[in-house]
Amino acid sequence: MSRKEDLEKMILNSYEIIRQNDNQIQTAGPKDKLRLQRENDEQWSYVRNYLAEYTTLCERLKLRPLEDIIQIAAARFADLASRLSSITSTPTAKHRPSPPPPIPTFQQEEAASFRMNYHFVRQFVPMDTDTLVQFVLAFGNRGDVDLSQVDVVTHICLVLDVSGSMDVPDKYPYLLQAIPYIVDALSDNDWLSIVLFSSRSELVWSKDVASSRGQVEEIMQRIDQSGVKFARTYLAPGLQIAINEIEHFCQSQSGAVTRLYILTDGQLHDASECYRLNPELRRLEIEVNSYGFGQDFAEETMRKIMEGCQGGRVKWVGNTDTLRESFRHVGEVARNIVATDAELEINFSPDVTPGDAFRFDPGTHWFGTIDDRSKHFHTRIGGLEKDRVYVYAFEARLYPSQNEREQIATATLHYSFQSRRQSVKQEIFVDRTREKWRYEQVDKEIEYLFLVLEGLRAKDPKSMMGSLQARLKILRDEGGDPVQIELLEKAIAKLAAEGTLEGLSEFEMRQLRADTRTTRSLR
Amino acid sequence: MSYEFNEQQIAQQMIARNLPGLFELLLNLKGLTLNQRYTLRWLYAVGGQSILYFAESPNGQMAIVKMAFLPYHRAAYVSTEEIRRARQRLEEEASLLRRFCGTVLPEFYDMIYAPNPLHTPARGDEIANREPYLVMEFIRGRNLLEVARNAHRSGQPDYHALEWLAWQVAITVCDFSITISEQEDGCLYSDFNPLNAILTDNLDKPVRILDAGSLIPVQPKHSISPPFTWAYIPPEYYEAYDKGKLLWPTPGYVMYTLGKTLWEILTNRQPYPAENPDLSEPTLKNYSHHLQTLITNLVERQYDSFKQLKQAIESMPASRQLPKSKLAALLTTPQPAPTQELATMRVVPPLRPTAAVTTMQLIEVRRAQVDAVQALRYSPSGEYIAVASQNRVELWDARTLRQVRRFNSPHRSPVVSLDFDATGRYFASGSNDGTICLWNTDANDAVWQHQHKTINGLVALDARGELLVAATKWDAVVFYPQLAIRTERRFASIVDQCTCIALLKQQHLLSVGGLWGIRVWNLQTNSELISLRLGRGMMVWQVVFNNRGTVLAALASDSPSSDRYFIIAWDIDSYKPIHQTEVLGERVGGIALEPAGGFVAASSRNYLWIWKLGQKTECVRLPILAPTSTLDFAPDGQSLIVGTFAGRMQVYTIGT
Repeated sequence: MSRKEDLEKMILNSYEIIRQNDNQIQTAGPKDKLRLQRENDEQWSYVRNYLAEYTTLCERLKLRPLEDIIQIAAARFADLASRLSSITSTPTAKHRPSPPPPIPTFQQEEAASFRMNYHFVRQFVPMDTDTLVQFVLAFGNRGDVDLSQVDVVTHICLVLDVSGSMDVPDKYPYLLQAIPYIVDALSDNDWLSIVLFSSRSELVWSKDVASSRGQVEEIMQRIDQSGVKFARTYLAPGLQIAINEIEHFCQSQSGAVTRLYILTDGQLHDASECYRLNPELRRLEIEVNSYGFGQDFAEETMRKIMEGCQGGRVKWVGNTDTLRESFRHVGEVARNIVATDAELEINFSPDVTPGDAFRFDPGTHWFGTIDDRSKHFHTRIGGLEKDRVYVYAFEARLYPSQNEREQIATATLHYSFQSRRQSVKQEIFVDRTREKWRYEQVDKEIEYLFLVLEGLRAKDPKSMMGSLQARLKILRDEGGDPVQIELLEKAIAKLAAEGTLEGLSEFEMRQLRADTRTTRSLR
Repeated sequence: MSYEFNEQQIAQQMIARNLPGLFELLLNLKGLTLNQRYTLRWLYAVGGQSILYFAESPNGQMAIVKMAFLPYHRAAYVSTEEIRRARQRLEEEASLLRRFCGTVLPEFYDMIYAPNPLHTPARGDEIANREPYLVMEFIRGRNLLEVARNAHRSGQPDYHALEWLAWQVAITVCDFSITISEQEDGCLYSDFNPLNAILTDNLDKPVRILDAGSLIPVQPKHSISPPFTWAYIPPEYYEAYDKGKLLWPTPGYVMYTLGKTLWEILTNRQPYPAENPDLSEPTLKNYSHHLQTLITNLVERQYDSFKQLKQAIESMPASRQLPKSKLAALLTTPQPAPTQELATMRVVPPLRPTAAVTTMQLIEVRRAQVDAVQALRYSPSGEYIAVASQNRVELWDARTLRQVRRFNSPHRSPVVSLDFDATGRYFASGSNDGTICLWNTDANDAVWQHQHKTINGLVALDARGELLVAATKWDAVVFYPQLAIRTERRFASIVDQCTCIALLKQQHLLSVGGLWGIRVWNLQTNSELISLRLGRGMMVWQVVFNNRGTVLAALASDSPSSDRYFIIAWDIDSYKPIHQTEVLGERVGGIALEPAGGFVAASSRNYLWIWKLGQKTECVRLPILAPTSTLDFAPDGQSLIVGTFAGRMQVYTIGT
């Protein structure tokens, strides 16, 4: 087989994969859709390389290109198609059925390294009645952009609890053993800082990973020989050291991404001091996450410390043995960051009433209701990782209209990629119909996603706490039943400690409904 | 009635009902004039199905304007169909008010269709510009829940008045139910609860029933969903409704809701959903056997019809009369009678100081004797004095020096500290067994209490009674009693010992005294403002701010065991010392700052002193006969009260 035939076969094979993917994309969920699109991007990049070689070969050897190949080139690479066509001088070139053009499933800015698409639970809405629509926005990096050489410098700052409660065989030794895993997983350009906290705190390590790699033993030794170990649990001083370290690092490496991870195993003795540091953490605009080690982890306290920060996720490491994997994951995630300072915004059309906004991935979060006056939603995302699909979900009420297709919102993702600011814009359209069977069609995968998110809204501990505290105040002010007051106090204490009312008896839950005076109607 | 205060309560209720943002939106309608006829002035109430505004007509007539309740703060989740249904209910309510005019329901005035700015124009003209507003009579009075809770929160509820109220409610509901059910297309009232009835000052029609929207046909109608409140409906209805199954209310159902409501009024106990009221509740014994029987029969649904109920009520001998004064008392906050033999008020001849320069004289104007007095504190208005006597906490009338309330004290050892908030509504107490309490001056039971062995009993309360600081052996710790929160916010003194605390309420400053000096903290920023070091070995025993927040004073000794006492004062703006006096040879029991910050008073075993700040000379040195424990200036600075361990309280007026 000649090189020309080789190339023809490879181009046609790639194109066949693209066609199959395009067929699947039409019915795929948001994550699969982005995966398939990414795969197609990759295939197209192969096709482009093959076509470039193929065109040159045909031009130099005066070989007639296949009509199919010219048509494939014409679908995406006009310059190559033009060159191939000019080689074809014979008007009787063999005609074969042309492959269908790729199905445009999303709009994209060619310059962007990321792409975005959207999916409705119900793509069709009725024309004559108002409807609540639910849709997700998914975005991820494009497959045809070579990210292998992109290395965003990441600063990983670990704030590790080495208080007395960690001094047990299934905690501290595992913590120590996990250190090499994070060093291994990070890139040479990354930076690692390690702060220990107990009654006192100490910055035991702050170096680039290339240097750290050969000094893993020394890191472990410094931790092991630190004088702050195994006393009481005072996080605030350690957090302050971390903040100072991060500020210092940011001044020297302005384009870097910083992620702060706090690992603790128990109740903090200085929670209020830590809360005071929350504004500073927010001001840094870094991602802050927490690992809860063991059974006594003060989850609510940690959530409050991180409140309003990017990330803000709490991961419970129940099995201390899995800490190594968690640390490896932290390193891998850091290595995967390819864009920074990402922000997502969505502007709804004037005739649309926006509802709630959620994040589904990474980590579920309820943002609350979007302001109907501004009709604008905005969130800072921070670093974007490659090969990850980010999913946000939105609800909105649409009013009757006779337009068959209507734009209801515009979403824009902004981010910095290789020192350039890029944006991906996605206009969101809804289709209207009078055919009932159409608007009854439901995308089950998206519907399930919203079911998961509904749980966040219904059991939001912050809303519940506000409500319970207000009820308690009213009852006390009015001189209500002391038994009911006691029950509310118990519920508040439980919610504060555990973040949920689950565990109260059915009887108590019913009693809690007693002084909600809302008169209801059955619907 | 304070409409502003009422709005604040609604704001609180909106949070309690988890409707954040709705209150602010509803306030936006204030000032809206409906077709040039009624102007909405105040938000009056937010119910489960309607929103009520207090409105005014051009000729000054006051009325209630009612509109359909919708979660406007979550507009995306309100369908046009729901809006139409809610409006339809309001229109039906209007027609029922018209139909049953002259009953105990509010009088119908008007139905106005006007724009509703809370709806987006995108919903179309009909929704945005044709909102129905029901205008009706404003009934002046208090709902049954307010009346009952107020009656019970006094130390000795007027059970006679409550019994009268219960009979009036029963009679009113019975008569009203007969009236509405016996007509063609008769109705039932499906949502009877204490919020839907009002006690007025009209003895001819003392009880009025609100919310005609709770009227439903006697015969089931599938297009109607009966309104109800979970806690009051019979258990079998609760079970059915909870499963989404509709059971149509009956006269027995209405009588059950009446029985549960009466039980709540009489006992001040919270009725629970799906549970019959506890008929063995001890408080019920304070009422007549007939009334207890009536409630039992209502709950057990012993009456087949409202007529049978009426016959039963009429057959029960019960006092149906109530003096106008008692009705007025039910409608206002009760003032309980004194609970202890009163001290005789007497005016004693002025006692002149025995030494030093004096430009001031103290005249004892009142005194009273109790067991022992450890702490005294004037309320911010000067109307009351909180008294800590042994482990008791009491409220005394400052003018008459008579006890007006003894609180149900959980303190098991002597109460050593008291502090009012700026409103005088709340005050805190602390005893040296580590118990601290928050009190509402209107209620006998503590609003909140907490006990921990490390607490030394010294307490301070912020301006709104929301933040309570307690001293421990080591530092001061902050609580939010009304939110059931104990924070981890701790404020230390200079060395690891805390002996005293004081709060400057307006400026959120906490002063913590102990060994070597005082630290002043800003509670809003949790940051230290200044350290006032008195020197190694010095021990601060008491810190006080004056009411105007201009001076901080401390009582200190040169060592923890010394009898050499000093009084030092600082100007708050600069924290420069403005006064220092050594009190020679006397063990000082306490100090107090004159509210304007011009004088400091101190008391010891033998003397009561007053110094003018900035001058080392005494204005007053008054011999006293018993060791003093505590003293306080009245807020107007015109008098001073002193308490002694022997149980004497003496009020002096200050003259020059």
